[in-house]
Amino acid sequence: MGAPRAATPDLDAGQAADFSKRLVAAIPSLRAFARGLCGHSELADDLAQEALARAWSARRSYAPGTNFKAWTFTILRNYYYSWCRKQRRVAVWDPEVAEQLLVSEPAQAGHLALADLEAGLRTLPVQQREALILVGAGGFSYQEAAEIAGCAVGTVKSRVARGRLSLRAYMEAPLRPLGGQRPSGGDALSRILGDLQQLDPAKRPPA
Amino acid sequence: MNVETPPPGEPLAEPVEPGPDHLAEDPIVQGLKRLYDSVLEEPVPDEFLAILRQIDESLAKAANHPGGHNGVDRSGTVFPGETT
Repeated sequence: MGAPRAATPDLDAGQAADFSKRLVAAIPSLRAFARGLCGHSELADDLAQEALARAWSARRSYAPGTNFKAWTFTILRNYYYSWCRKQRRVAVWDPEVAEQLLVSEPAQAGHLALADLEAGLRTLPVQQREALILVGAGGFSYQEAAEIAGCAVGTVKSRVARGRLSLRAYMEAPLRPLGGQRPSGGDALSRILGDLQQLDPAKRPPA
Repeated sequence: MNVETPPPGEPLAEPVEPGPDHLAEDPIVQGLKRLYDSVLEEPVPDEFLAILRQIDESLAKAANHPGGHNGVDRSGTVFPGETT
């Protein structure tokens, strides 16, 4: 999401108030997207707050009539990716948080254990997480997800397909050792799994 | 004959993924949706209020150019351009 163009005038009071209302309404979605993207509830809220502030600052660059939620999601994911680059990694992993999640939500008959699923989600490359959340949970079309992720529609479809396969394999594996190799992961997953062994607890983004 | 374009029905390099409607039937995707929805249903943490206050302050500054019909009703916000 580019910076607002200098020539674009600021919103008038009514437009600004309307924009602010839409931002407030987008907060729950931003939190949910961030949670799935980074897999860490506190970091997710930091990301969502930063995205909120950035969206407000960039309000002149929002094109009226376009998908507002997608616009805010783009801001959030761009910020998260740049934050990850600063951390020199794209897999956020905090074993303590994962353990809390595992005990906080017991498995229910007939349902996937959500905590297991969330842990599995974290083992995926971030691009696959992103595609799965946007299309599978966020209700975006492949086309919209492609615009948010800045890639081709076919790439989103491929990421969703591979992410589903990897997650299914994760959920069906009888044992899920952190550093273990899984059959369907491919090079990216192997790399992430290798990274997990030397990760520090998730660092917070700059305030 | 050297045919450059693939005939109709040629399998694509990537497996054809069913559309989002089909995705909804996948237990994995259903689980992801439940994860996502569980966050949606959480109350918004107080930390977000600080940012909303900043936005309110910006709104107050923008009120130098009134004309909006859809003002945000937040008590305690006094637009500097207005006489009280």
